[in-house]
Amino acid sequence: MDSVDSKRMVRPMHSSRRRREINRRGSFIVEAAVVVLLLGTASLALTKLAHSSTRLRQRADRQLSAALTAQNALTRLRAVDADQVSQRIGEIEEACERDSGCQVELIATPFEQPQVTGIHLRVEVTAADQIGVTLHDWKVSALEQSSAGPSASNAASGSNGRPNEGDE
Amino acid sequence: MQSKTRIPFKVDSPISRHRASTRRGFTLVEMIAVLSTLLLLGIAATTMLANVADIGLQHRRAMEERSAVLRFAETFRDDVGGSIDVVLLDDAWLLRVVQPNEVVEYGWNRSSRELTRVARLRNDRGEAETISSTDLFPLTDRTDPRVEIEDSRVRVVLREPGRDGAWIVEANR
Repeated sequence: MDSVDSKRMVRPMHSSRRRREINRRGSFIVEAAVVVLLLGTASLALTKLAHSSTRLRQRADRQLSAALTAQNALTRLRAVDADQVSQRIGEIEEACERDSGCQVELIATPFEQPQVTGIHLRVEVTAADQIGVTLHDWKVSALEQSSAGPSASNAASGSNGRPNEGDE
Repeated sequence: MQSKTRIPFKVDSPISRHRASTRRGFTLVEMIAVLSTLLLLGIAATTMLANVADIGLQHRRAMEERSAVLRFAETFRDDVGGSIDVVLLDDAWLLRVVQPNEVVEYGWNRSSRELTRVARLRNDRGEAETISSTDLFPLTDRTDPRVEIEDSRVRVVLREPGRDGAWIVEANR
């Protein structure tokens, strides 16, 4: 009687265990494949992150290079007498382009107001990827004075005397 | 009245013997395979995390350098613009900017990769004495700064291999 009972009890357990074992066979490979898939996705995201990080850094470097070039061009222009600005613009443009590798455009526009006269200086520096920096400065002198020296500049560019900067 | 209590299977009962005989362990090869795979996955995950951290670190350093260069450009132009004399000492990367009330010395610390600025007040005889202010401009490991003096213009060229163009800061005396 005992042995019959035990066989009755054992048979279903034995078959279910076998079924479980059959179902579990190869499960590790599936798990590993899932993990590899996840890691592959993560590595793809990482590659994209590295790529975009490098691109952003290069862009920021070029932006800084363009800003410094524009400031250097203005520094050179400030050292030039107002009556010689138009003659030396080309030379300064070339020097700045050679140094930085950016495209530099200097525009000097004379202006005359009732009390003052002067030159509006605009520096446009373009680097790759459409990065652009524009700076403005003014060489201003009173009408009774002969010409504007470097110390006379910035009178109209703001209270702090710094050039206006705009990113195009 | 008897209380109903559960009697556990005896150790030598047929059921427990059957369980023991059908319990299947892992073979050595399976263990090695699993551990190797887990090790590889762990290495891959760790490498990825390290790469992400490295990218973040590089990004932060580059950002700090750009901000330091902008700060340096502004300070340098102000110092040189109001100077009486600018002297470049050849034995080290040392630029001495003499102003009416101060002497400002710019140096390049190779070990810490920093541009340094030390301003000293001048005494009655015009000699530099007390330090009035100091400043540091950290650059990246690969940046190589140079100083050039041309007529009335002082240039600091910050060149880094692999970067498009150089960062140039110019100031007029």
